[in-house]
Amino acid sequence: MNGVLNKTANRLERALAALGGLCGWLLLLLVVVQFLIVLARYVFAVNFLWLQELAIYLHASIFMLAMGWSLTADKHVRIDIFRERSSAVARRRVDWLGSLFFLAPMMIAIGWTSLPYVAQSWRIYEGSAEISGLPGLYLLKTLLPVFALLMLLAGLVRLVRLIRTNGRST
Amino acid sequence: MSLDILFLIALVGVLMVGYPVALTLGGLSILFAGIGYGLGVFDPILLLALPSRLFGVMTNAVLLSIPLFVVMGLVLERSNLAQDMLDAAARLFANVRGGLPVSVMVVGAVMAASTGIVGASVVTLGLLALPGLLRNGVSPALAGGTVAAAGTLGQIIPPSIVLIVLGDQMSNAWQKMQLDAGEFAPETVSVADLFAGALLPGLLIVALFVAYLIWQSPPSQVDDTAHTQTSRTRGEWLALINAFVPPVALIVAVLGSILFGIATPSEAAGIGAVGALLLARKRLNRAALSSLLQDSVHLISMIFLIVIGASVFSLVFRGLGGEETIATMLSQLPGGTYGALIVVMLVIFALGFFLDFLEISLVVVPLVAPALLAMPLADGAAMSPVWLGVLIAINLQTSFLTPPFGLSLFYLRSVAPAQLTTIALYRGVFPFIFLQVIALISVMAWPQLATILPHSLYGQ
Repeated sequence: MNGVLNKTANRLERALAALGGLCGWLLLLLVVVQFLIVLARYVFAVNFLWLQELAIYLHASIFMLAMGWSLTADKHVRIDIFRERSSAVARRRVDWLGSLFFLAPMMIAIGWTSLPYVAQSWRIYEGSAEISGLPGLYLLKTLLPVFALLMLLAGLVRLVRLIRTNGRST
Repeated sequence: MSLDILFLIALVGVLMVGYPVALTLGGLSILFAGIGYGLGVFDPILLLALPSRLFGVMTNAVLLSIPLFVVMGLVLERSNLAQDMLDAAARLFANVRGGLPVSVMVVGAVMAASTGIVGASVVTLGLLALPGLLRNGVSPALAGGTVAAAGTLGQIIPPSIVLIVLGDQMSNAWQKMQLDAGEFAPETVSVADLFAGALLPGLLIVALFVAYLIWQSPPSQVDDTAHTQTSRTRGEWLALINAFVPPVALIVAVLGSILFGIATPSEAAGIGAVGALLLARKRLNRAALSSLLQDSVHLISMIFLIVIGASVFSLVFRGLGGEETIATMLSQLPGGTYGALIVVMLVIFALGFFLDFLEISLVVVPLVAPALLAMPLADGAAMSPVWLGVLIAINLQTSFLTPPFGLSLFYLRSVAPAQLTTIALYRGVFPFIFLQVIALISVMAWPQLATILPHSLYGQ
């Protein structure tokens, strides 16, 4: 049982990390796109709306897809005034209680409320409000439930890790 | 006690246990929305606004500048540009009165202007500059105080990330206040306004710090100046120019193009990121670039998860009627507008012990700013949102330096050698706190310090 759990957690963590790595390169692409926007506007005096929308798409994709990875890597900021002095057992308790009572309700609420919102957008294949904009607004909105799912999966990975370290220490 | 106030108290308590702040904010909000629904004081339909609010975060054009500034800051930090600046300045000014600490302060101001996250700049300067200061006979107290103060500067000197977030929040608060007052064509306040407003007070603080360092440094070092003056070679000056001119030029170009309205913050940030990558191109191989991008992504994720958590929080808090409660409480304080302002400043100062600038800008500012901005000043004029933003920024910067809870002090302790005792550090930061308070009072007494630059640039 534990073996299966661990293997699943490892696989999930690798997938989230791969997604995070991809976001790193998307970030570089965002820098390039933003530079092109500036170049087009100030050197050639043209505005490409689709290029500006592409920058927003990249920007949103980067953090929506990478936040789960950052959670597995424990990069989200905590207030550690008391955490510094607390025992490993107490820290683990905070982590699994937090996952169950904060992470899970928050992500379920975001996922649950965003499903009809996204479905509505898919029904009409919603595109940009501007004529020369990008056609994929429904895809951009789909990042919301995807984000909630990725965060839940990342929370699961952390829970499995907690069980494992508990098992090891006792 | 009403549920909204209970919610705030629970939030402060639960944040202390050390679960990630963003998730605590969002999760506890959902729990309290549930409790409120059970008690019949929260309408769950409100939660259906969640996706469109979060989609607003995803597509916010002001926040688009954050990832670009993160890349610019991390590239400048990782490419040893700070190290070169420090080395060059230290070699040249080592024997000038106060030369070393002043060099650290100036490099801190230049570097911190681009990173803008307290922890990052304090740790970087602590690792880079603290050993050198101690080795060269600067007292541990003065060295520790200098590094902590220099690292914390990045909060107020634009273009800093926290000023972008604060500017965005101030803009929302300002519009909300005007709409509430029945003004349906509201004036706007932009990130550029806040950058312009923070510039003079930021430079004032740097000037105060530098003057203090020169005054405080032992004159014995001055005796050496005469003969080292001649030993300063052209090479050393060239090294200094080489080290300082490119990053300073980059920051000035980025900031200047925003301030003079030539470029939007995200356009300027894009130029800044490309410029920083070009400056550092010889020092970054593929592996270093990849790890830099990954660290940037983590930092961006961290920032935006807080934005999302805070967005969930403010939706639920408003749904519980918290906004009116806060506004009523503020308006009933003795001392009118100034009384309310001072109470808010004290609360923010105390919160600064526990929360980072980001969380305060996102959680506390939207709660108090619309109510404060609606209160008239003594002369009957409306309060300037830029002035309020700058006051909050200086206030938080002071809070981050104040023992025993100041965040900067914790960050510095984590990288400081044992030679720097906690007591010495506390003693060392005290004068800087005093100078910050002088700056805070000056800006409070003369709002023009914050408003004259945006006024003359944008005529508002």
